[in-house]
Amino acid sequence: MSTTEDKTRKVKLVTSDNEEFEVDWEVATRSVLIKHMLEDIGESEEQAIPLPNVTANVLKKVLEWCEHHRKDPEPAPESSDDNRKRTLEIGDWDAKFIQVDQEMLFEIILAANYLDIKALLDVGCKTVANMIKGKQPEEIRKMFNIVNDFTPEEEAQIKKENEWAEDR
Amino acid sequence: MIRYDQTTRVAFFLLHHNLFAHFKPRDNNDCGSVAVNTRMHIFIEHFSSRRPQQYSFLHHHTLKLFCMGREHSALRMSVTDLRRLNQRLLVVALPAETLLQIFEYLVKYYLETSGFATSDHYSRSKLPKDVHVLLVLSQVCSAWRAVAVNAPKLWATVCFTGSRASQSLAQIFVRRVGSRTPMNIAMRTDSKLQPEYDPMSMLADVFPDGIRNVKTMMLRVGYPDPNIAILDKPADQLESLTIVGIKKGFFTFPEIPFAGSSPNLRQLSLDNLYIQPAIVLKNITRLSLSGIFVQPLEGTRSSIRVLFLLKRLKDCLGLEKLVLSAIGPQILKKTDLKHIKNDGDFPIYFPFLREICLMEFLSPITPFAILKAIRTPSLSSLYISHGGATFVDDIKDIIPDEIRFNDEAPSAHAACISVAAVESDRTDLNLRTIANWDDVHFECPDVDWFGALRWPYFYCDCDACPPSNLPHTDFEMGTHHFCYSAASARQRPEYMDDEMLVNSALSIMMHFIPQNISMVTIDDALQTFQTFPFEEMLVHFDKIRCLEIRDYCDHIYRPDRFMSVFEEFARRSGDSAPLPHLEALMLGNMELGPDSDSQRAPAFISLCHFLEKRQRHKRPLLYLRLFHSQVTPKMLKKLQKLVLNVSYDGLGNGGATAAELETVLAEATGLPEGAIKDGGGGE
Repeated sequence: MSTTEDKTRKVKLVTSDNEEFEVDWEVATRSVLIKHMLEDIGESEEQAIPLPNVTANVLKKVLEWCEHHRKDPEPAPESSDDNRKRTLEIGDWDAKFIQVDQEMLFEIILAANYLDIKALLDVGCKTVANMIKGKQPEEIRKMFNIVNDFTPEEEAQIKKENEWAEDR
Repeated sequence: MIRYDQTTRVAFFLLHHNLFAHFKPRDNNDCGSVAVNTRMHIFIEHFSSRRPQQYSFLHHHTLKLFCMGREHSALRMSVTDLRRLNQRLLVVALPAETLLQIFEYLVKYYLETSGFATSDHYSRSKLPKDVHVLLVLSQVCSAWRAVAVNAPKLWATVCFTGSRASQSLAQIFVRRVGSRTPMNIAMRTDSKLQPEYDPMSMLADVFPDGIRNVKTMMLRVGYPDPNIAILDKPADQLESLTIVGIKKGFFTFPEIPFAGSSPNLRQLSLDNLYIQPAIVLKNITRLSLSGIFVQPLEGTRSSIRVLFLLKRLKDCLGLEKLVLSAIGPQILKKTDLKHIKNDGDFPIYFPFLREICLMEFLSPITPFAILKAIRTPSLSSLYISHGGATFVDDIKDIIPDEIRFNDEAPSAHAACISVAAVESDRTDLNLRTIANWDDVHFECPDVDWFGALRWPYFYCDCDACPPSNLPHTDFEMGTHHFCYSAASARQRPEYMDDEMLVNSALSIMMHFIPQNISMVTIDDALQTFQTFPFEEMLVHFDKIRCLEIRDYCDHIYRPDRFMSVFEEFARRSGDSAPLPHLEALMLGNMELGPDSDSQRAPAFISLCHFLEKRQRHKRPLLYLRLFHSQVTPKMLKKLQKLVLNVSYDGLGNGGATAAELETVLAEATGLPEGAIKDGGGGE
């Protein structure tokens, strides 16, 4: 439970490329990882939180999201995952926010995963799911520059699966 | 300056640094050689170690070049090399749980859109999209395939159709699900095509030891005398079972399903099957039986008696929802009801039964008998549909005195009574039934109405009459919104004239709709507008804040009669504002302009009288929306002076142009053009 004092508190974050960000406690604690780290270090305001897996340009983007969603209610418990996953819809602001190049999109997803920001991870995953939706394997490979790396045995199995799927 | 795309720029960079040659095959014999692969790795390692910042960019586009090359058979690499290349892509190297989350989104999305929870999912014989998307995801690259095939929950919905190929695919799904993850099984059979093989037999082959880890099973059986071995074996985790026989007589449900070992089965839905007379039904909380017939031991097929069936439900004390449809033979005489009084098994108590739906009975006595034979202290929703019958003179002939709604239920009641004609010569009898509904009073004064109340509702089988266009009245308490829709003359039953429609509308208003609702919509046919009891409605619902009137066919009509009602209210209101609670009027399909013959516009004049009086008494109308209506710019100017906000968004034939009207309103309101069309005519 956050107190009024917490809400006025500032938090220092240090990225892997040694850039320092000072943000509101309410914004930083959208990340469960940072929240837990802050709980661990207690009242020590001067102590910066190191984020060795996030670069400055990605953290900047992540903090932009956290700032916009600072007042959002606490994430729903795990049990509501099923309901959340039934839709691929993304809110207008989030959809605009996530209009970035592929590299940044995956960096955001990785950062959201590392920082444990469930809602942002959802936005990223839904965006990728929407990119995949309705496409065939070859189209997906082309979109993400993935190469076909199956062994001949796997190719044969895949061919069989497709034949079974067609034969309906 | 020419701007090249990034891939081309990378190609230039490689050429400039003479790097392309390192991994470009020197001749055809060099394609896919070890030397090429080695050079490729040297190149990649060189950049990833020395220039990490630029590496990602370079790698991405170099890889693109490689892909292009590979497509043209210029470059061939070993599978290991290709996998190493893929692993450097973020989309492949995402943590497995994140990749899985993306896959889950897609599978659940397709499961939802293909309606696994509904009959839509299994009423076609084609593979559903959720199966297709799983195949696609597992065929992109080895890393994605590894994540997908090792995630049992992705494969948990197994689908069978009538082909052997579907069995092979289902077997793959079952193998990937494993034995610990609960599964859902759907059997899709086209009702028009007989399947190649008996899908039930396939099911028995795939699950030789029974469906021990199946949670939901939906079977649509279209093969005569199917193999029902699966229904005789334990189903420990089964929670929901739905079986639909495409034709009557395909199927007899076992007397003791799953050998009595289905401790978690709570939801059972059987349609078009035979059942054994001594069927054992235990612990079911949601039961739906439709077109059920009994198969006695002698082998002569006959229908099950409804009351006999009720007795079989005595072990379902936790029953919460009961749907019975077209179960027979049906009690056709009132004297049969004596059996209920004299039978020690009745009444049966269902303390948790909240919802009852009794449909497609030939006579109202059958649902009456069912309701008479049970006690339901928790009932909050009741739906009855039946054919007309000569002896229904009173509501008490349809709902027995013993039936009580739970007046402590927090979210209220829904009552939907549908009286359908089963034979054309009985329609007059239906009318008698309808007329008697005026006496209906449900004993639930303290509870809000909830859901939809339809009155009257006429079922019609012809293609030209989709049910939604038949006359009905919806009332939704959630929105405090009463919506009345009636049929056009073409769709209306022959015996239903304007007066009857009007009376039915009045009937439902007076008896069923609370007076304190805030909005009324009349979405009706042009003809009815000439007779609709607008005045009575406005008197009855004198607290409404918003009134919307439109023609549901989008025909333009002259609302002279309707507007004269407003004028009459203005005249009678004396020294006070007429209809003082009314804040918004939304008028659609109205021709307010002058009549071409008389050059008079009585509807407009009446409306202005009403609005002027509201304004005079300092209660001007707050909002007037005109859509698909004909008005002249001059009229709009006048209306804008009388109403705080006027919105105009659509024209009928022959009116002013939209641009003209927008200009007029923009001038009057001071708002930019376009704002008005979007409904932004004011605060």
